Amino acid sequence: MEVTDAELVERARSGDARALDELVRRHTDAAFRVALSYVREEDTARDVVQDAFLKAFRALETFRGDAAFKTWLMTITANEARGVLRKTKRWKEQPIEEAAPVPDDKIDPASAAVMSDEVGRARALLQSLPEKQRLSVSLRVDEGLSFREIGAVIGSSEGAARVNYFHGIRRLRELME
Amino acid sequence: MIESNCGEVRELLPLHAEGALADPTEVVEHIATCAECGAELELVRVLAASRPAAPDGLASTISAAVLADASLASGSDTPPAAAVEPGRRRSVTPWWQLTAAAVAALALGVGVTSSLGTPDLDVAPEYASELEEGDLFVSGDGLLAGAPALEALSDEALMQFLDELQVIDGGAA
Ligand SMILES: [Zn+2]
Repeated sequence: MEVTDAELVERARSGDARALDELVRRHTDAAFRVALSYVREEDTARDVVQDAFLKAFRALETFRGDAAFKTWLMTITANEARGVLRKTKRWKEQPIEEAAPVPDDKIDPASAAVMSDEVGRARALLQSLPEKQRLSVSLRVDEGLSFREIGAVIGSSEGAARVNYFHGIRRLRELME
Repeated sequence: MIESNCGEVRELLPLHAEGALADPTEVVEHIATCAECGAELELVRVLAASRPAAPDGLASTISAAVLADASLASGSDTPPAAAVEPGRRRSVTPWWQLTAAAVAALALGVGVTSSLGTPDLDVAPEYASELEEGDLFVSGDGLLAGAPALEALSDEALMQFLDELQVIDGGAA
């Protein structure tokens, strides 16, 4: 049987490097998807994920065993990503702008629709949705989180996460037609 | 099937698309008679098929960075002498072994400085002022209490917070 995350966390807390490594390997993809959903730029997403893992392991003692490690890590990742976006917004007001995540108005459904591949197109359209909608859809479809967990990650109530998910799905179906 | 099932079924579509439902009977039967939910399942499947993965090597890079960070903090991996700033070296509690109570104090906005016996009530610690509304998330059952607040801190503020904890612990500064 596969070792559970909870067991790995226990071992990592007592300094087991291999347990720590396994936790990183298990959750890098999911953390990367959350980061990418927010910042929509791969290099920035990489940095966000690395910083999130560093902070998560520094704060491992605050992790409560009754929560899923994955959800906890994703919440930290989401916070980190929102922090990066806040800083980017501040930079935007200055003339020099470098390596900033793609702003909302530069991803338009029309250009995404040029992609012939239906699969790639759906993903591109997803990234064109408003932030909470695209996060809610991604966390539900990609990670299988409950709406309660999604609310925790995106900083909303469970109900708001559910509404954002359904709005996002409806909008995507319209755009895909 | 009656369409009143739609709401319930739509919530389950992502799990159904992954084959993660213990008993998919209800969903399968509903899809067979409801074109709307069938179309939505198609969309969910298409989305799931385009789920991005992290770039190659990212997990290894992160793993190495986290391990280096942990060993530096615990002092088990002594950095080269030239890299050590005189007077900065000291016995340190690993960050990841901070007591939950200490971090909970931060999350709740409790001034750690007041425990030092030299409170300066006019100047809030930087790590307290950096928290913004909405950064602190505490679910009904305390699911994620504290962690997001810690994440909202800049590295400098986090270091300050950790430094002060060491002082409280009686460590030599
Ligand atoms: Zn239906």
